[in-house]
Amino acid sequence: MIEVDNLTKRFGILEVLKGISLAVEKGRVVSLIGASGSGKSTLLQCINGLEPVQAGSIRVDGTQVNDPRTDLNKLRQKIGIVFQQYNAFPHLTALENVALAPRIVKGLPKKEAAALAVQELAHFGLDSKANAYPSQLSGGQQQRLALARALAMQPRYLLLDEITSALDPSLVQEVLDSLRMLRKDGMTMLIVTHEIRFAREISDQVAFFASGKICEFGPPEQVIGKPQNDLTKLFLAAVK
Amino acid sequence: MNETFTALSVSDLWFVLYGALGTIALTAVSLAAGTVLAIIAGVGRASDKAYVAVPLGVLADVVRSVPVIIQMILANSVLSLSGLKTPPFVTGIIVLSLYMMAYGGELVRGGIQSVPLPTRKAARSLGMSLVQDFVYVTFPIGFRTILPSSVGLVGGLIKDTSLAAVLGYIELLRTSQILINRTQEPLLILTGVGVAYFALCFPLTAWVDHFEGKIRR
Repeated sequence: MIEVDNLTKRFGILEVLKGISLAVEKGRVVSLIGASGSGKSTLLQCINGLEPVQAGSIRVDGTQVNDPRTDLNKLRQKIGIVFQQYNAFPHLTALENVALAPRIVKGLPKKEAAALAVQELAHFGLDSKANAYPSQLSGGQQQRLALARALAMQPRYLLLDEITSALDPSLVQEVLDSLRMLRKDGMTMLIVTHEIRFAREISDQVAFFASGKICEFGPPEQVIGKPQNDLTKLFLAAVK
Repeated sequence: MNETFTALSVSDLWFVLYGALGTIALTAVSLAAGTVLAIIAGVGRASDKAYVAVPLGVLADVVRSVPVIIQMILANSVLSLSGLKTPPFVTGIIVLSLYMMAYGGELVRGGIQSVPLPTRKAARSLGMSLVQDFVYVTFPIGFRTILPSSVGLVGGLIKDTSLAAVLGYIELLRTSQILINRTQEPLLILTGVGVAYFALCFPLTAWVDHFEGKIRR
């Protein structure tokens, strides 16, 4: 379970997260929607310990992320994250991209890591691309590669940071299909997205962000279907 | 021809070869030590900790602004004044390693900073430590970026080993000067030595071109 409690995050004097509280239970899918710059992506990076926080707490399965004594490298193995910009390692083939972390972080023998990578690539329909370099893949394929790479660490949680925002419209569906598949597999996901329809379809709960706060939280039928908050209504009207 | 001068002989070829070995030895040791120092300096320069980055920056600026030949003479004087009897070979290594550290360090810093932050975050998010990120992701990617300039730097190092001649170190240029003094055949000897320098530098650039062709897909 991911528990965020009264979290404050500042970049210099700019307060990006202003007392965020949010809980994601195991097996659930929670989407974060809201205008760009409202702090959604920052929250994901804080949960992964990639960004330090100033106040409040983040706990993942009871382990406090923002505690200097926490071994973040170990904790991060539990929490996969995929970013908006494809960030495949350009000097490695698709197979090596997926096999690298299981091999050097988990210490899997080379053969086992490769077998695991083949399996994950196949899972995301990339079996024929195992020996291709990222530059030879389309954006959608690169994002599926990033998903395969994150999943190869067998994380308990998956954080997805606007992973379809940089894609050609024609490539968005293949990535969303991958997420539908992961949901069916029971993966716990926290999704930052601008695909409102998709958020409505896949989420158990939706949080609407505005200027560093959660303005509205609840099941998608409520937050997206019948929003109560004026800011939520305004945002949804603008993106429709 | 005046009789104080004697013509070139076969044994002079061995002398030139001895000089070439001197150049190779000085290059190899300075390159090895300098590369290690350059990586350390580059990582330090890319660090967000000012007390690490700033002093290294000052050192780099000084080393890069003062001509290497002056550094050679100054280092030699300082070392002998402090009572250390360092052979010219060692003095040369010290100066040239620092030179590599200064120039190479800036290259390494540029290489590290050329790797997009999201790529590094991706590495860390998979549970890699800072060192694993550097060894398996940041360095290999950055290295490809700085490879062409690194070749220029190493080529420069090979040629700058000739400045160790002022220390009395016997290397390619020094041997040629000695031979020219004796034979008064500057054109022939300098051409020969120029070809020798080319023969030292060319395999390096050829190898890098080959390697680059392999990795740029």
